[in-house]
Amino acid sequence: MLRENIEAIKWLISVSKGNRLFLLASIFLAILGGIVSVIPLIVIYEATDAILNGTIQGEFIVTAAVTTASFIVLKYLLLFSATMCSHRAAFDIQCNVRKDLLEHVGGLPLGFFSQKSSGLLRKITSEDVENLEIYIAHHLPDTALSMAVPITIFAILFSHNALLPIVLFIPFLIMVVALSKISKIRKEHVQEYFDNTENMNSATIEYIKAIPIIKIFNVTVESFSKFNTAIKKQIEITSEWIKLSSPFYVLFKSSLDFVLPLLMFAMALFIRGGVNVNMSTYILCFILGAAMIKPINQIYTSSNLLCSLMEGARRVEQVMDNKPIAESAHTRESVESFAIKYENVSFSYGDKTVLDDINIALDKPGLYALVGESGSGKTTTAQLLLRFWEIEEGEISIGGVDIRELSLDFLLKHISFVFQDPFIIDGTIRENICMGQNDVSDEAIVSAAKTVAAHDFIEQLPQGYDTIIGAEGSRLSGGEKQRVCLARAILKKAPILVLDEPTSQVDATIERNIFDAIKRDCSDKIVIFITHRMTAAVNADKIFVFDSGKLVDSGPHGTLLSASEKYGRMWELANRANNWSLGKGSKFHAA
Amino acid sequence: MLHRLNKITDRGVYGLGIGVCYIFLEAALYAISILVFYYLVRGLLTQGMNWTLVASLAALVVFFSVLRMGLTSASYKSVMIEAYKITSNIRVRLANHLKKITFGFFLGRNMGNLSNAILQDTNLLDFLLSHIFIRLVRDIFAVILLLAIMAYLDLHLFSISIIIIMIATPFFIYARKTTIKLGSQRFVTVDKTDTYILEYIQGISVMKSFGLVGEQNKKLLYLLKKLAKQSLIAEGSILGWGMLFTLTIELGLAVLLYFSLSQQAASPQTSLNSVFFMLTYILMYLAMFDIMQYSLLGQHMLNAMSRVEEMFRQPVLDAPEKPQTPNRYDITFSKVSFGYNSKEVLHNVSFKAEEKSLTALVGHSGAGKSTITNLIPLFWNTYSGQIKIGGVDIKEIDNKDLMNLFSFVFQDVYLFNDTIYNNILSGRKEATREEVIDAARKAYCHDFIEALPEGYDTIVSEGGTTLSGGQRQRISIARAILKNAPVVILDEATTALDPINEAYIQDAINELIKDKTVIIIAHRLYTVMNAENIIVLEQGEIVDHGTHDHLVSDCAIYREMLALN
Repeated sequence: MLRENIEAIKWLISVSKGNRLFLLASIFLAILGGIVSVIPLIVIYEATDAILNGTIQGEFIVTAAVTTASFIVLKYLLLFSATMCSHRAAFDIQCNVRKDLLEHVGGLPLGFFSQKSSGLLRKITSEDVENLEIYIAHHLPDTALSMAVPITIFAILFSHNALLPIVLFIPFLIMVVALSKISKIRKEHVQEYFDNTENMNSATIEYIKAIPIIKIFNVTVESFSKFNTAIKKQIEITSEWIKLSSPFYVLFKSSLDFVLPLLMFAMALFIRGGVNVNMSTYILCFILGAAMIKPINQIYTSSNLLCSLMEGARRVEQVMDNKPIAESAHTRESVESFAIKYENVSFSYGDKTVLDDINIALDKPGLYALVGESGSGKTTTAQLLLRFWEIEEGEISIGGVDIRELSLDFLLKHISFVFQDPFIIDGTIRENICMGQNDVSDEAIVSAAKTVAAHDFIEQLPQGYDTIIGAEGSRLSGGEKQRVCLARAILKKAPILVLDEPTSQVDATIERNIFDAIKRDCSDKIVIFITHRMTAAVNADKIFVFDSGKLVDSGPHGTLLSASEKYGRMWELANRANNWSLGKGSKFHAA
Repeated sequence: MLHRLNKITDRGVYGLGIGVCYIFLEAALYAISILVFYYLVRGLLTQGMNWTLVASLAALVVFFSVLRMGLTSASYKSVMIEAYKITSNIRVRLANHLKKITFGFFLGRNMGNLSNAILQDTNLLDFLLSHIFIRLVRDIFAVILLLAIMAYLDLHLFSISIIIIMIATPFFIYARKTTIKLGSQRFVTVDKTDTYILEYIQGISVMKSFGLVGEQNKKLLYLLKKLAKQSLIAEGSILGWGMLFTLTIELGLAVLLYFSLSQQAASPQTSLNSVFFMLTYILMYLAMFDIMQYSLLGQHMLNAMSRVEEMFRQPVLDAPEKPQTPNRYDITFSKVSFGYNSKEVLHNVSFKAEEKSLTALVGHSGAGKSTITNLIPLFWNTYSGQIKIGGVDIKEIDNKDLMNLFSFVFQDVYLFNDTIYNNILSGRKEATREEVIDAARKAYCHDFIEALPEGYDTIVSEGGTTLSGGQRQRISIARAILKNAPVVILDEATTALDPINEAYIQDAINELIKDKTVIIIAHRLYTVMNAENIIVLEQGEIVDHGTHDHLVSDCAIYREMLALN
């Protein structure tokens, strides 16, 4: 247990930066408070002595009461300050750890953020870091106090009688042994427990998400076995754990109960041996034994908390261990032109080849479309430009400079990227379009919105551009969200625009308008867009056709239609899909 | 509290009673041991005792202590195990209950949040019931018994103690109130910060491209600092009130000391009693402080329990008394009105969808199309009017049978975290392997499934990259084909898929709807041009219906929509 404490404290010191003084002060004040807390008991002892010997004088009565009262108040002042210091440090450390974490993840390759990992990251930043508080704010001063109280008590007892401390010391030893046994058992079980809790949690989440289907297909809860197994296992694990550790726990809890009988035995022995011990000394021993219970119980509670602290720390460190994208020592901040070139680019994800020898050259401004089936490599190709992932073979360059030589800031500043899932922040439409840029005029915002055919629907919202959207605000349809994101990208005025299925949820008429406007307003930019709509692809100056990670054909629509078999088939199927209608008149059956 | 708990578990909380009895006996033995010590000391002071009597009394207390150890052990064991069983039972009941809640409850709700709430709340119940409950009970017993001893020792000092406790109690009440008030305030900030953190992480690429990472993000900094400040204030004031409570009671010791010393100076006989009184007072307040801590913790448990209760209060579908089964599958709405909360979204809608015909719902978003398709399978049961299938009111059909009547094809596809084979099989569990493969063929899945390294045994992982959106959709159609339900409810996809996938899905849907009663929400009018009945909706009302040709000539709104398409 001691080792775990030291480990925890080491980690705390490493993250506590500006708060070390508060932590030290908290520990110091708590120790002082612990020592002071024993003094009123000594006064009670003196009073007992006076009462039993019948030697009470008028001034002693007042002195005893006042001393007791003032030391009690002093103890509270010390403990309150200690706890406030530790809380102050705890909340500040929480704030800093969160800030550092979020700063750090900002530097990670974007490929790190899959859907799953963002949920996990949220849990770490919010919940696990939240758990740090309990340890730092409460455990730290409590541990200090818990150490100080028994030591003071032993010292005082020893000064009264050399033998009596044994009465307290034997149970104390038993407690320490029991406690170390308990933490050993915990160490053996805690991992399994945490793992199963995790399983239970994910089974619950899965179950709840599946409820629609469960209802429709009449699956019963009992048969939803994963969920049930996890719950049953939880009972097994905890029962087993309780069974193993409960004897020691009881030993731990009860050992101080033996102070009284041991004391009585000591009395018997002293009487037999004719040793004359003051009655009030026995009573002192009894009181001090009772006063030790609380601090020692605290040690037990704290050692429980220690586990969750270390678990949280481990998770935080796991994230911090992810290496940020390597920036080369001498990054360049400028390029001669924004011509994009992919040369022999290959990339695999695990052992699955995603891109195989891709060559693309985009020399001049214009509209470029990437088409192909889902999973054919279009999105990966586009994402590589922003260094979402590091490529294994080949080179991607902008203006003749390898993108690995360019700083990330430079890349992010000069490339506007619109993702498949429209990303909306909680805030007004204006805030969503500006994204933190303060020096944007209203005209610029409106003109960007007009380009992407968003102005009209925005004007119709209750507060126009100041309507709050996002989780708490007005609900926009998927297509409307997409247009807000597009406006944001347009407003950024980057020379390169990458749009991943930007209009997939927008209907065909509006899509046509958007592309017309982009052609008009972005004629000086390189615009790369991914689309499934062949009607949108037609707009491009050049279309790149992907098939299973390979670039199979490229050229303008007219050329491809006759020259590319793949493109021709896609075009034909698209036409067919567009003219599809259900019901008896359905013209097409199996392909 | 136990009473409330008893309502949400069908295990009954009485199982906890045994543990409570054990712990009561333990507390009683504890009190008796103190009394033994008192008599021992009194005996020694007045007549002097020989060492054998002292030793045998000591042996008696040892015996008590061993007995107490056994009782504590038995009590903790039984309570902890019972507590885990109770909370597991609550989890399973909650899961079962969720299944019975009208489906509409889940629509438009963030499932992640919902499951988090359920998890955290049951975990909290779990912890408090297994760890806190029995300690709280033990301390309450101890305080009561110690107060009794105090009353026995010295009534005068006892009444002073009671006054001290009464003076201190308001502080405790304040501490509780502050916990509730500031706690919920802080909860709001925590929630806001949490939401923003998630937003930040999910939008990290956008944040990056706009230079809003870490220190540069003012909103993030503001929220984090605000949370730290608010937490400190909340903890500080809760701690402050709590400490004032304990301080007052501890100061009582000084008051008692003063009184007993004065008393003593006046009349020297009662000497030992006042000494033991103070001793007992110390033991009493140590237990009392624990009660305070535990009951503040217990507040969280009550909050968690309220949220669980809230979930149990959600209306469930009542099973019909005499369930009926329809033998034909036409669907009729007569004068159906329905609203979410207080806002009515469907007004007096009546129509009939003939058996084995194609009925299309068209209209702008918000016109009520999906509300209608959600009412047919009784996802909501709070509508007025009547909905019948084959002449039978849907509320008269057993919910399981009702669900068996439908296949749904939605844009958002949910597949189980299981093999492709089992996912299709879940459409109809008793189907043979041939039937499963046949359904996969009809939904144009067979070929791509066979091409996967593990074939039908490939695990479909949640959000996994193994399957594309179009492929997932086709598997869900295969599942529906296997189910072979007489009514098919379709929501036409609004998101563009690649042309190849789209063509496959369209063909698969054509397989699915053969000889079925079909209700479709159409976004492209072209899709439903051949429908027997097209229902045009506008703001929750049916403005016109009929065939395409009829509507083209008679319905202005339809013509307008057609022009935009």
